[in-house]
Amino acid sequence: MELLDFARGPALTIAFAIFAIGVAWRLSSLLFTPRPHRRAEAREGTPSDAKAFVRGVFSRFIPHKTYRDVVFANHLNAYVFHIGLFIVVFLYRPHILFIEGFTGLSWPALPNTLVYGVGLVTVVSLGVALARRMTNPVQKILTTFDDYFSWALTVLPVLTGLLVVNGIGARYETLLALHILSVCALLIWLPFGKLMHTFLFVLSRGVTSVRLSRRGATF
Amino acid sequence: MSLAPDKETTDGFIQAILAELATRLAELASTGIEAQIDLRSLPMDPPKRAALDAKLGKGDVTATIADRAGRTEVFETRYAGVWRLAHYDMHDTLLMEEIAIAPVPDILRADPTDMAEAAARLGAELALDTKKGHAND
Amino acid sequence: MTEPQTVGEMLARKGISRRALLRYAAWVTSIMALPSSMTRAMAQGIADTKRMSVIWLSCQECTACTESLTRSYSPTIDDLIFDFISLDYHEALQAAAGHQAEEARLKAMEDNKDNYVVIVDGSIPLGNMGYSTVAGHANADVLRETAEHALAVVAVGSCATWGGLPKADPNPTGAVSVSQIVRNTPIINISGCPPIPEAMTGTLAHVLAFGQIPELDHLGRPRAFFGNSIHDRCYRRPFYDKGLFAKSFDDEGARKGWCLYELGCKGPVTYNACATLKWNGGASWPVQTGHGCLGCSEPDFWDRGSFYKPLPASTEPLATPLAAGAVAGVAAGALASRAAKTRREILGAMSKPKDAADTTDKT
Repeated sequence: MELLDFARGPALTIAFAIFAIGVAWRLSSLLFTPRPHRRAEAREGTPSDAKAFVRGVFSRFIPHKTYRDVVFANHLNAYVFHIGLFIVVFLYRPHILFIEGFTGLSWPALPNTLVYGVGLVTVVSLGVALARRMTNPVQKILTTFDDYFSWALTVLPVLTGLLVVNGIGARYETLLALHILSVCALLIWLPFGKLMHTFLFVLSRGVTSVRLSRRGATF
Repeated sequence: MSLAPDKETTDGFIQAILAELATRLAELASTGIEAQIDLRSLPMDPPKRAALDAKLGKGDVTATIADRAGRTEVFETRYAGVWRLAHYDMHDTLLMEEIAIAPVPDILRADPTDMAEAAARLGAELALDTKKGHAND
Repeated sequence: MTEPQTVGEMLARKGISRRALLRYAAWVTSIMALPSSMTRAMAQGIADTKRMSVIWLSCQECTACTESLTRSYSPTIDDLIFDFISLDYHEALQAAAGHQAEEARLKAMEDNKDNYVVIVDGSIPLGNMGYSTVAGHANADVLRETAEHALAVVAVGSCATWGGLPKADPNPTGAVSVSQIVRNTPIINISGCPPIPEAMTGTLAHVLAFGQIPELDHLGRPRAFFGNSIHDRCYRRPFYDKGLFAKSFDDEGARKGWCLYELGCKGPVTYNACATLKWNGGASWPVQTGHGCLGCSEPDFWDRGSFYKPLPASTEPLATPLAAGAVAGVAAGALASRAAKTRREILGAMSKPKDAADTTDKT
């Protein structure tokens, strides 16, 4: 029981503080960075920066037709675990209660048993993503420690969550403590590794789009 | 009573209890080993319990044990050697029910300690009566 | 007539037949989840043994544990335990007082050396020995002395098992549990505020009948009573699985008997037999009355956040580190980019003459 007390109290406080510092630091240092001078004239018919930005953010949700057939399965799998993670994190009753605990916000949840199913699918999907990463020659070369570490810290909370609800391996309070601690680890790591794409995907897609649009690329 | 299997007695749970009973009863008949089944710790809703009771039925022995500490109702079912017991506390609150597989349930037998105490008591009473009788002569 | 030597003889003398003992044994066997075949052995064990000498020590307590055990308003089946034991010392229940009472304790210890059982309710103050004394002796000293030659020490109630309410933050008396005082005698913890009476009597009956301590969990509690969580055995569990929760104590869900998880029920992390044995002779129990479990049988339950805060919610306000962290992070980011800008300007200024020199060289 002591481990659960630590997880519910000090561990979450520390993890939330580091998470907030890290995310705010990385986002603000990017936003405060002075914009580079535009030395070249934009091409004829270049959309406004705002338009290019928004287009860039949304156009990347679907793979470009050139690569569509090659990346189709991978892209689909990525959708499965991203949506799965969203459902498990934000539409599971106990998680909403957790968020309500510090935000005061609440919204409807999905039935518990449905979320358990989604959790299982998510773990399998993450497993497939890892397997591809480890077998595809090109992806293997591009993979660094960051990728494996980020993968592990993402899958751990889902895995321990499934253990909690099924009571596998240890007593409930121990499993719940491990689940919360795995979330703490994820929160602490998130701002400093590739998982920061949770926030940065908007900026990187948008900025890339603005820059390339000026050179005549269409999104 | 209809012999056609109804919905409840074909229920897997009841079937399992009955199968266990059959095994234990056969064992009792061949080896004399007695057994008990604690119904309190078996999760059974009222319809299931009723179905089990209907299946077991009532035989030709019924007994009530009433003492200072409570009450126990015992009866033999339609199957010889299979007994139903219900224990109550002194406020007549049901404590637990069980099935005993035995020639006679333990609780009906007189205990050696109780019998020894009874013999001593009877002896003492008799001695007293004899003394009284002599005194009357 | 000679003095009865065994519990069986004593019961026979009192007109309580072996049949009543068998009924009792059948019931204890059942609530302790022992095999039914052990009923006869338990009845025989109790009948053949001498009445067990019990010394009850009360430390910093509220007497609810004794109330729970005796339930003087209505005798029940487990009151038979008082026929099996000889309660040689209990400050609230014994007739003797003063020196006579203390002499009774010392005599029971001497006559039954290594065979008597000590029951303790209440926590033991170590902050100042004067906080709780009996006949001028500090609780800790009496407990140490009495436990030394005991067969076992049974800590009843969450005060004796974990330190309890007196230990609640900031623990003004320096209260500790029995296990922090008693070192070399086996301890059985029967936690709860108060503990379920059947858990106390069942455990004593087990020790009496078999001469040994029942199987304990990692916190020293009998598995028979503390092996399952309230949540696992709760009749409202199906509503949890379906995601049907009461949102307030008077809404439609509460009236329909839905799960109390969102109202702060601690059932999932609380191990006790309330859901199966219930209270007051099986009449009801907290969740059945419509209130969530407080977790009273778990260590330090009052220092674990509000009783009404849902279990998944953090025990500390997380908005604070989140907001403070964000402010600190933005400040750090602003400073870092400002420093980078300054650095770039300095580097830019330094590189200009060099560029000019290069150009002249080439031309």
